[in-house]
Amino acid sequence: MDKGKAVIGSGRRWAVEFTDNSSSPSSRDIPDPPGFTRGAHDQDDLSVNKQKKDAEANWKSQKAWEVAQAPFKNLFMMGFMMWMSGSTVHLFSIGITFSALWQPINALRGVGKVFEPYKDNKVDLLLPKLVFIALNLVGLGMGVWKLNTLGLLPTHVSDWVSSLPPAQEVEFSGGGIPLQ
Amino acid sequence: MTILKSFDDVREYLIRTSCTKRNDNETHSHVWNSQNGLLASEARYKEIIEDDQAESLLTDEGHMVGSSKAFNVFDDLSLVVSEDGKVTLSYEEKVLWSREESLASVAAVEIVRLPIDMRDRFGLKKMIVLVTENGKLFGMDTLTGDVIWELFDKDFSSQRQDSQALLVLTKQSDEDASQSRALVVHPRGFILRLNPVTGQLLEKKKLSSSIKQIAHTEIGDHDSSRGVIILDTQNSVHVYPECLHDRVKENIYKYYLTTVEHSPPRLEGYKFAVESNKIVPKLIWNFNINDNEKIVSLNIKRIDEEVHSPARVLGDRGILYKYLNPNLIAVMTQGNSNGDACNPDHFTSIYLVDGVTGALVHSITHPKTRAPANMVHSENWLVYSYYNTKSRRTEVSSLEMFEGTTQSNSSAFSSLTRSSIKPKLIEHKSFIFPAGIDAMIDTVTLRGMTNRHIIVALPSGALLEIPKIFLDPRRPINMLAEHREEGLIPYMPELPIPSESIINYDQTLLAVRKITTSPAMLESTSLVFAYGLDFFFTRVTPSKTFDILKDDFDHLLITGVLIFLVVASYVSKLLAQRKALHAAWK
Repeated sequence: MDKGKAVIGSGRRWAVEFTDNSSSPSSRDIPDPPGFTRGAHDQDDLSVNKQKKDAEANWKSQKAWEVAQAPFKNLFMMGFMMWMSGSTVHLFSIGITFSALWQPINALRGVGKVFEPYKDNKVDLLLPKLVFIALNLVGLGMGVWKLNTLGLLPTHVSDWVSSLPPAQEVEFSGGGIPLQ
Repeated sequence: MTILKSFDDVREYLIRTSCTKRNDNETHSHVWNSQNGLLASEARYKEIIEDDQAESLLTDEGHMVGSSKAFNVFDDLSLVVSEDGKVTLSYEEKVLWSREESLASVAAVEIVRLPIDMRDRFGLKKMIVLVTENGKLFGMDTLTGDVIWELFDKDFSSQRQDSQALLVLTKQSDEDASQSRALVVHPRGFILRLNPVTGQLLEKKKLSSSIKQIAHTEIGDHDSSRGVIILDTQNSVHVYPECLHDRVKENIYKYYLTTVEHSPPRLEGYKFAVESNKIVPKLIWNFNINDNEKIVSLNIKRIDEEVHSPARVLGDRGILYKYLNPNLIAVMTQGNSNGDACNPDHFTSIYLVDGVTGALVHSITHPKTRAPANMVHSENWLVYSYYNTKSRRTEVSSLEMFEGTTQSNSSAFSSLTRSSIKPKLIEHKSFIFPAGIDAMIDTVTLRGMTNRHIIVALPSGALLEIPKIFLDPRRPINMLAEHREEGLIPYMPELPIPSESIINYDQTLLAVRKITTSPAMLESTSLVFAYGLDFFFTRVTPSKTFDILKDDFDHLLITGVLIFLVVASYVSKLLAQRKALHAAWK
């Protein structure tokens, strides 16, 4: 898809850019219309711009916090699903447990990506990121706990014992055959 | 039907014969059926046993021909009983039929692994090596039941079952059939070395005195063969094959030997020392059994037993370590506490003795019980049967020994350095068995992972397969959730005999003397060979055939579905690409 866009973008070289974003006048030859003072406009524009930027930063940090807290709602949902699935090993409970493990892992892997849109010099993303990570870790912990209640975690000696090698013989006793 | 007897042979030969009235235009070859026991339907016959004259012909007029005995049945028709137990009927020097009668009296059996180029992929084809009481040896194919080779040596015969030959496999080669080795040891002092795959006789040796006991040496590296240490009645020690003598002498301090004496009943333990470059035995312990008891059964464990797991997993995910003493000897005795032969008060006892130290590990006495006794001893458990004279029924008892929840030394088992030779926990339960028991054995698999079953030969001619979980001494009387988690079934005093567990179907096996089991190359499969009057060979899969596909596995359907899925994934990939391209152009 990206490729296609790129092709199209480069293909439309003749496209005319109608909007002129440049604040500096293109030519000093043509006088400004009467009643137009460039300096005042510029100043005004700047303050509006600043306000706009502040609002955006505000909005960004608000959004970042929202994103950071999103896993919290998920936790309740997951907890309820886990409680519903019971402690016996069957298709449903295994599915739920694995999704409970997979979601936080996936989210943790994409922390940077999730907060990408809210990246701003004025917005401190560290805290929301930490909250996001912490909440996901809680989710992961719940998944592991569920795995344990299902008895799927090798936490007991009995889970390893069959791989232990048998004891070696030190003495070899022979005979014991009734010959007569 | 006639019973063929001769004065110097204790065995009786049951021969079904048929003959016509001397009709001139009928030849004898039609009358005598080579498939002994199956009479040709067209043959008219009379039973010779009803004919006094005929019987006397057979019993009295036998004359020695070489080492065989020949009987004249009629003119030109003669029955020859050879010393190796072969019965041949011939007419005018022409053999009409012959039969190996010695196969009905087998003394020792081993099932030998074949080299790779001779066996099938699953290792179901093996060689059954039989030593008969006549001293004749046979090699028999497990898949076809054909006798591949035979070998006769009179010195290995067991006269009146006093002492039977032993068969020891010393090497089962995977590469080369000519490398496999076996020893036949006769207590009279004869040793025969042969190749159990080809039947080739390699060496025969006579020791100066008879053999008291033999011990297997530890198996060495891949190429080397296992030998035996022989203690003779003159208390001198021989190592056989002799090429292993030096290697065994170096490690002789590791070996211990237990001898069994029947009168008075006792066990004796020996260790070995090297004195003036010779191996000499040293008596180190005596285990005396009461005079009013006699040894009816004695069991050591299999030499190369594979124990898969050193512990048992409990319902609460805790573990119980198995008491895996490789030196344990189980002795079963029968005694009469009354001392009065006319009004006997029988009891049986089990002694579990450590073969290195002679220490009594455990003992049980069952009052009001007697032989016939059978025992199976494996891993950390013992299953034995006896007859209860009070209730007049056969009972099976099951014993399992544990070291508890901790293990004193998990890497090595030494009888000498342990603080206590006794197991910490012994579980024991008895069951009623609603039939007699002729023979009993456990199934054995390559790695010991598969469940164990007990194969029992019933006097009715059936071979019954009992899952070991039915004989589990941990079967609870009050069933709890953790017992269910452990996979235990509630205790029921009676063991069932479900007819679908009878592994020989309608092929009745009367008078089974012993059953031998051997592993196949498949972990799931154990080979079972029962012998007595008849031979019966089959394979059992105690944990079902988890490593082979079922016969009715639908190869076609699975292959079809797989091909369809592969094709479908490629087609959908192409379609998706096309769709993406179209979407991009929009």
